[in-house]
Amino acid sequence: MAEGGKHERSLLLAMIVLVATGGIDLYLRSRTGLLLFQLIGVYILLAIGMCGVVFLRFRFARGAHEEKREVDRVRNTSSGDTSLFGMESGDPFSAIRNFSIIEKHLVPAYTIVAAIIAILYSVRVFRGADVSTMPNEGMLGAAFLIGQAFLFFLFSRFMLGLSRTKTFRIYRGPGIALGLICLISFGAGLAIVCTEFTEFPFHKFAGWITAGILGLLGAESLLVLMFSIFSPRRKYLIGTAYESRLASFITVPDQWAQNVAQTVDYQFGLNIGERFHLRVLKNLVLPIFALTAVVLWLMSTVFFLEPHEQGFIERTGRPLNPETPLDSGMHLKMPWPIDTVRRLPSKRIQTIHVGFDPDKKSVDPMQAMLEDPDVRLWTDPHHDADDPFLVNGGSNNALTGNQVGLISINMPVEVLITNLYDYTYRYQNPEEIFAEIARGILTRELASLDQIGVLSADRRDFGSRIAAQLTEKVEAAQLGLEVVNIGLAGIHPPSSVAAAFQEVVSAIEEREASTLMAKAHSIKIEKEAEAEAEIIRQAAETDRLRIVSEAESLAYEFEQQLGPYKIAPDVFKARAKLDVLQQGLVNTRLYLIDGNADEVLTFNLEEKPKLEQFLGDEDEEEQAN
Amino acid sequence: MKKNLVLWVSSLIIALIFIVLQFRVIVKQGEVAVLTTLGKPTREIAEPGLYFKWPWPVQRAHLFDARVRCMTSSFAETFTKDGKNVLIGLYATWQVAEPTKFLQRIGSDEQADRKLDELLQAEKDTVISEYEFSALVNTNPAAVQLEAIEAKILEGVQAASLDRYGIALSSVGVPRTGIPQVNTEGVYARIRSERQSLAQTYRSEGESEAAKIRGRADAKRQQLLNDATAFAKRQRGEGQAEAAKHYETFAKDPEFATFLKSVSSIKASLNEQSTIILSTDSAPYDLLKTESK
Repeated sequence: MAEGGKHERSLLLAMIVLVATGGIDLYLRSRTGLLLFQLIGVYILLAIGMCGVVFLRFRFARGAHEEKREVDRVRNTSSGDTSLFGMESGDPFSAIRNFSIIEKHLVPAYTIVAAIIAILYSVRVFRGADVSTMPNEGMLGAAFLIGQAFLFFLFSRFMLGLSRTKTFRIYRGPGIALGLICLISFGAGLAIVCTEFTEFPFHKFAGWITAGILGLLGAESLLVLMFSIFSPRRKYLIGTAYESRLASFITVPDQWAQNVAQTVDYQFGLNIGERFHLRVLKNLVLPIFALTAVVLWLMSTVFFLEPHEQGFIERTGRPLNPETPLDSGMHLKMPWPIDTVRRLPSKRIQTIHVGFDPDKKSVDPMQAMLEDPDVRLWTDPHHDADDPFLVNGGSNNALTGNQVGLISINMPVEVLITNLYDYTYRYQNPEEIFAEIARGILTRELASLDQIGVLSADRRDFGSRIAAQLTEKVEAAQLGLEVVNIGLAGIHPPSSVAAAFQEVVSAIEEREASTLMAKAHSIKIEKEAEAEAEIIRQAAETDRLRIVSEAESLAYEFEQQLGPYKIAPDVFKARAKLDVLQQGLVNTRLYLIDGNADEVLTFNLEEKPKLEQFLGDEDEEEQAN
Repeated sequence: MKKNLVLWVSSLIIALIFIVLQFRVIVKQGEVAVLTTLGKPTREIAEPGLYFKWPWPVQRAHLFDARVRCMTSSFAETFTKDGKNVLIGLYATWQVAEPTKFLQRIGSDEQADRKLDELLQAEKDTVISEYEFSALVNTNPAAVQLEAIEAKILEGVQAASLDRYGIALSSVGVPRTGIPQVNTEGVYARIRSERQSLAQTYRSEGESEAAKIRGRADAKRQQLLNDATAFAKRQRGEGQAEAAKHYETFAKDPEFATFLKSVSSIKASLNEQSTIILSTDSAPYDLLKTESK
């Protein structure tokens, strides 16, 4: 057991190292700004807890073992009553009982607490913790992480080696945990180095992977604990609930092949482990990984530039081909990190929005003015999301001395990279400078232009002048950009007064509408009048013909009847009268009165309703019903 | 034993690589570096390449981006010479010219932007106060002095930024001009009134034009009807004149002609609603009376 005490102290040493490295990790978290260090700190915290639990388990187990040996010795040497030293006496303060309590309560309690911490922290990271911050002094942090990985590698190997014996089986948990911290530290360090060399955020993915593994381990521990309740190996499983089976898969690599072979044997009833000589397979694991890493590293000597790209090879930061950028296609270089490639989309047209960006969410200008913290005023904050430009408003006024107007412009400018060296190495952000230069030109040009003119007739000239000035300025500044096209599609009055401008347009339309309606009315009136006049003319012509025709027919009738009349005038007249009566009295009412009567006669000539009228009304009512 | 040896060797190689990395600094194209030894700046590196340094904490490399970059100043209010409030925003292009001074006095890009903003704001206030508002907005393009203002501001801050902060300013521009909120509202109100007045003018023009068109149409209608009526009268007159030629026939026996006209008039006037009251003395009903006697 002397050896046991020595190894017990190794646990204490591991805990001290864990505390020290955890402290340094937290310091590096603040110094580099990387959340990765905090994440590794959580792993270390859980590992400290695990070492503590194992330390207590081992210590009490040893105490119980010694106590049992002592009891057995006394029992063997005493021939009298042995009840004092019998296990049956149930001494509540015995080491054996303490060991039993530890085994029963401490391990599950630690497992649950550790699992909850792991899951909660993992969830916190995935719900928005900032893992993407670029590191400050990343190489310092990476160096420490690599060193830390090396340190924990030694501890892990030591403990896993010990755990192969039955006495130190419980060291397997801390061994796996330290091995996992070793791998995660190494991976994180490598990711930070890659970020430093390539400016691609490898550390962000490392952060997500680290947080994902943390959550996975927490979930695994809880599941093992739950399943252990129903398992026949309950005591064993609870006792090792904090040991991650998943982590052991990657921290004890020489077991991979064995595990795979065992799985295949179990599933298919084969005996692969013996047939393929498991030892050979196990020995190949590390060389395969090493070979893969070397091949991947050598693959970094080949790179491809896309059809729209050109690039530079940088060796230790210095471009090898500053005057002749590499064109699209396959190229060779020294392996990373000796040579790195800087790619630029030089053949693709890029659009820089000057003024305001129409793709951005529309914001109420007044509200934006109030909310923009970058604007300083003597009274209130002020800023316009539309970013209106001052334009000339015409004659003087009392307010400003000059009448000013405001106008919003979105000027999308299409540019091409023409000088890769200037674009890459002369300026940090050429597009930003380009946009500011363009905005300055717009400001100067608009200062003397009329608001309405810019909106309408002067737009073409205005655009030409802007294009000429911008080309000149960009060339002079050596931005490495060439202006391909300038669009002036988004010129409009500021949104606060846009309605008033729209009202003018509406009024113009209304004016046109009024005129067109009057013209339509005019056309209608004229056509109706023409038709009416034509009717009158036609009627007049008809009347004329009728009058002539009637006169003619009357004259003819007169001529025809004059002869008979001359022969017997009275008879003709009498017959004519009788004809009139005969024809006229057919449909008229006739009253005959006695020519000799002396009385006064009264006639009621009131029209009486006809029977058909009543019948007709009834029919209509029936139809209505 | 062999496997453990491989592990040990590979671990040592990896550790060695990262230890070696602590003894070097890579300065990229477009960067400058200041090496500090135990906190004291001891070396400036302006050329890109691989350089030796002692590992932290003995030596530390402070890398700065030496490329030209852009900063935009606050859109802040200032006074013109004629006492008008105006908002002017500036941009400036700058780069680290003296890395050691930059490290000691500034330290970071954010701090550099802040310091330059202060410097530019102060100079801008001074320069703008020498110009009237009409130098910023004017109907006469030659009177707009924005380029001169930019040049003066640059001249005023260039030496100071280099001397104080180790920053070389290469250009200053005025990308934004504006007027304060209250005045902006005034301008907006004027623009609105102007637009409304113009809109009303257009509407009135429309109404006026419409009224004219309608008036002309009514007049034309009346003219057409008058012409037609006159034509109708002429036609009837002509018809009457033509008919009169036929009436000459009636002169042969005017009394008979009148008789015929009377007969035709009576015929035309009798219809279903006529009521005739005749005496039994009238023919032919007198026949009835004679028979009854």
